[in-house]
Order: sequence, then structure tokens, then C-alpha cells
Amino acid sequence: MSSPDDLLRAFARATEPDEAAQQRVADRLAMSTDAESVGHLLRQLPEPSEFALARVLARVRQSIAAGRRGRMPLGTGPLVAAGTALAVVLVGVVMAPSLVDEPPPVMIAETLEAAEAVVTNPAPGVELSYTGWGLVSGSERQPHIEWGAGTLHVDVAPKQGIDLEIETPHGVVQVVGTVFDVHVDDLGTRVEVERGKVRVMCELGATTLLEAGDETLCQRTSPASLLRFANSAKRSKVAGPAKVLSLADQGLALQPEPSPVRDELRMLRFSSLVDLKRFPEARTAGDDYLANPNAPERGRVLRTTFRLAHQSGDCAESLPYLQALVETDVVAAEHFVELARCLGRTDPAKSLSLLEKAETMQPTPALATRIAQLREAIDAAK
Amino acid sequence: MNRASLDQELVERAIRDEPGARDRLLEASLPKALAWCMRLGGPKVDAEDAAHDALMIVWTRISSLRSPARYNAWLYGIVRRVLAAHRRRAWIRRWAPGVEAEGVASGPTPVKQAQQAQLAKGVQEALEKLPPKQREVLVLCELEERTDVEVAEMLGVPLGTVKSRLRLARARFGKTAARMRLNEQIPGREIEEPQSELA
Repeated sequence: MSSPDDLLRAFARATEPDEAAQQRVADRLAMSTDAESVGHLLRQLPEPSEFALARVLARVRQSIAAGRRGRMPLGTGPLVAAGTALAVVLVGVVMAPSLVDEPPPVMIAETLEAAEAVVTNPAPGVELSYTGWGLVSGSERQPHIEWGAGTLHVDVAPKQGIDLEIETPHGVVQVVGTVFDVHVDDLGTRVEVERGKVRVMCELGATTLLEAGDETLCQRTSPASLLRFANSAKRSKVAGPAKVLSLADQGLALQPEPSPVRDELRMLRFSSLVDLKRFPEARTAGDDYLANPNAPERGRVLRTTFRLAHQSGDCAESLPYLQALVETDVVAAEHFVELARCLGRTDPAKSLSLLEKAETMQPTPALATRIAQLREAIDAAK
Repeated sequence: MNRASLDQELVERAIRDEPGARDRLLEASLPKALAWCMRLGGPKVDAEDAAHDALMIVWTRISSLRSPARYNAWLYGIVRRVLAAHRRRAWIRRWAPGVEAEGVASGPTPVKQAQQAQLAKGVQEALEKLPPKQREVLVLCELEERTDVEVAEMLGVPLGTVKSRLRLARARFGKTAARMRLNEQIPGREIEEPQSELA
């Protein structure tokens, strides 16, 4: 039987903080009190990218051109006040229900994605049946639909004060109480009105007021609008890379000026061709993207185009990409080794110097072995 | 775009609705508005949508701004209300889950880019755990390096309030960051790639 002293000593030993635990506590203390560490961590948050800025600016300009107005959202104060007033009205303490002019908006959000026809009611008085993909947002009184592709049949109950708006790559459709179809494909956006009235504002073109039996087609659009929908398609579960490619192709067919929008459209074309495993075309698309020496994703595209070219193992194919890649900051030791292999016979001195560079980049054991083998082969060929 | 580009003269010209002035003001305000939306919106808010909505309000209501010198504070107030509205929707776009890592993809290699994106996501989560009033003070003071006087003016609160919120925010953020071991993930402290790029 152990004495109490023995037990206490054993307890003290068992609960002695190890070095790692002490370090963890010290780190926590330092983080809690050190403003510099906090600032350093916060600076890891990303800055808005050039693409994101271009996208938002293009969207804002599109909204302005479509005649839309910014609406200041209700703050929580008015919401609480309105809620309280509503509650008071409901319990019947106040006799005049007209005190509450307008209840706070009920926000809605629904993703529309279906390969086969689906019917949904995102808000009272609004019925949608659709095949394709899009997104509903806004409030029950002001639903906003982004419709990317496919057919959307809209039935809005008349005289309910529902201010519904549908945005497609080719324009904006506004309605108050009506039944109509919106069909979006690569050729444009077709709107057919069954009942009521619809205002169609084409992205580039006139605004038309359609009545029952009328139809219109918005064909022309802007690269920025197509880019926005291509990005949405990329994130969609049902749209797939073929749809992204189609939208990017449409945007590029409009021959946008050199700009971040053009770069991003080219990037989307390239990445969707890779996703579709259409590798020869992907290489050409990659070359198009790389034609801009300042393209922001240059390093990433070079790495992939190099891999595509390298599939054949033919140095003549991959050499241009490797040579460009070693000039970037995304180069890895493997790239130096592969370039050394390709230049081994024609320029052994340069090959050896590339291998030396690779060695300074802490290669993996397998790569170190490869470097040694190549060095032997180059020496033997001399 | 630097802060100086939002000069008072441009704001005044936009208020007077001189040709092209409102458009230039939008361009000049966009980087700041989008950065605020990205930093303060949290993972459930689409920062680009929020920035769009905020700039549309600027476009529509700039003529109602009485004091051009307070444009920054006015813009921040709009972004703040738009973000609050977007947060209320409590809506995560199913087709765009999580935070897009765009903007952090400038690391030297894919692995480092992924680590950087992971770290940025962690920092955003730690920020999200702060009360909104502490979060905005921390971002404005620590990240944007604004003085506490400037932030007090932007938020319309006393200087002492900014100072106390900042102190509490630092301590709380630091604790959360330490618990999440974010400081261990800062690039350069460990992790060497390289994984084979060759086919």
C-alpha cells in the first residue's frame, strides 16, 4: 500500500505539464495580448481580386443601364419597431390596424436546378415550373430570379402587388401579375407572354412591353454579363463544364477588349476544356490565355499546359512551357529536372546548372535519385 | 485604389451630378466597399452581391449626402446596413458553398495556395465569432490601419468606445485564433511542398 506522500508525488508527476503544453499556453497568452500577432493574422485575409472588382463593376453598370435603383435595406430598428407594432395590432390592444403600413419583408432564397420539369412556389402567388438552372432571392413581394439556362414558366397571381424580376445573360424581364415563359439557350433569351403584361429589357437593345400572345428574343449581350453567368454555371451542380464553356465561348465571340473580363473568360474556357478532358483544345485555350503576359493566373495555367504537353513525353512539346515556367515564381524542383532532361543532349552545361538549382530546392528523395541519374547520364554523354 | 482617390472634390462633383462623376466615384469606392463586404460579411454572405447592392445605393442616393467630407463614413454606413440585410437572409447559396478562395490564389504553389486559403478561412471563422461591433472595429483599426479617431467618426461612437471595443476584440480574437492554432498555419513557419507536378 502506498503512503499518502507517495500518492501525492505520483499525482504531481502525472500532472506535470509537458513542454508542448507549456508552449501551447504561452502561445495562447501571446496571441491574446500581442496586437502585432493579431494584425499579422488578420492580414492573411484576401484582398478583393482584380476579377472580383471587374465583375462587381460590370454588374453595377449593368444594373444602372437597366434603370434599376439601389434600395436602402431596413435596419433592425425599424424591423423591431414594425414587429412590435404588428404584435400590438395582433393582440387587439390597438384598434387601428392601419398603424402598421407595411410589414417587414419576408426574404426568400431557393436554388432552381432540375434536369426534368419541376414546379415550385418560392413565394405566395408565384408559381414556377422549370427545367434548367437558376436562383431565386429577394423578398416574397419582390422576388428576383437569375435564370441561367433552360425553360422557366412563370405564373404570378395578378393584383397581389408582386414585383417579380428575372435576370438572364441577355436581359431583364419585369412583371406584375401574368403568366409567361422564359427560355434561355446559347442563341438568346426568348420571352413568350400567355397572360398579362411583361417588360423586357434586353442587355443590349431596346425595352419592350409585351402583352398576351406577344413574344420577343434578346440575342445580344455583353461579355461581362456572360462572364457572370459562366461563373454561376461553374458553381452550379447541374450546369456542368459544357455550359460554362458555351457561355465563355459566347463571351469571347463578342471579342472583348483586352481586360480582366477577357482574361477570366479565357480562363473559364481553358478550365472547362480541361474538365471536359478535351486536352488538345485546352492547350490551345491555355496558349490564348498565356498570350497576355500579365494574366493573373499565368503560373497556374502554365503548370497545367505543361502537364498537358508533357503527356506525350516529347520534349519539343513541353519545352516552351517549361522555359516560361522557370521564369515564374510557381516553378518547382521537378520543373527544373524535367527541363534539364529535355536539354540534356543539346545543352549539357545548362542542364547541369538546372539540376544544381533543383538540388537547392530540397527535392524529395525520389527526385534526388532522379537528379543523380540524370547527372550521370549527362556526364556519360559528354 | 487608395484612400486618397476618394477625394472630396470627386464626391462633391458626384453630388452635383456632373457628367461622369458618379461613375468615377463608384469605381473609386468599389475596392473599399468590396473589401469591407469580404471581411465583415462572413462566410454566409456573397460579398460581390452585397458590394453591388451597396454601390447601387451610392449611385441612387449620393445626392442626399449633405457633408462630402463624411463620404467614407456614409459609405461604410451603407455597407453595414446592406451586410446586415444579407446576413438576415441567412442564406448560403447551395451552388457556391463556403468562401471562394479567389484573391488568395497568389501563393507560389498549389499546396501553399490551399494552405493560404485554409488559413484565410480560419481567420474569417475567428472573426465571425466576434460580436459584430467588435469585429468591425478590429477590421477597421487592425486591418485597414485607420486611427481610432477616424473609426470613431466613421461609426459615430465616442473615441473611448472604439478603444474599449478594440481591446476586447483583440483579446477575444487572439484567444480564438490560438484555440484554432491559426498562428501555426502562417506560411513560412513550416511546411515545404513540393509534390510532383510531372505526369
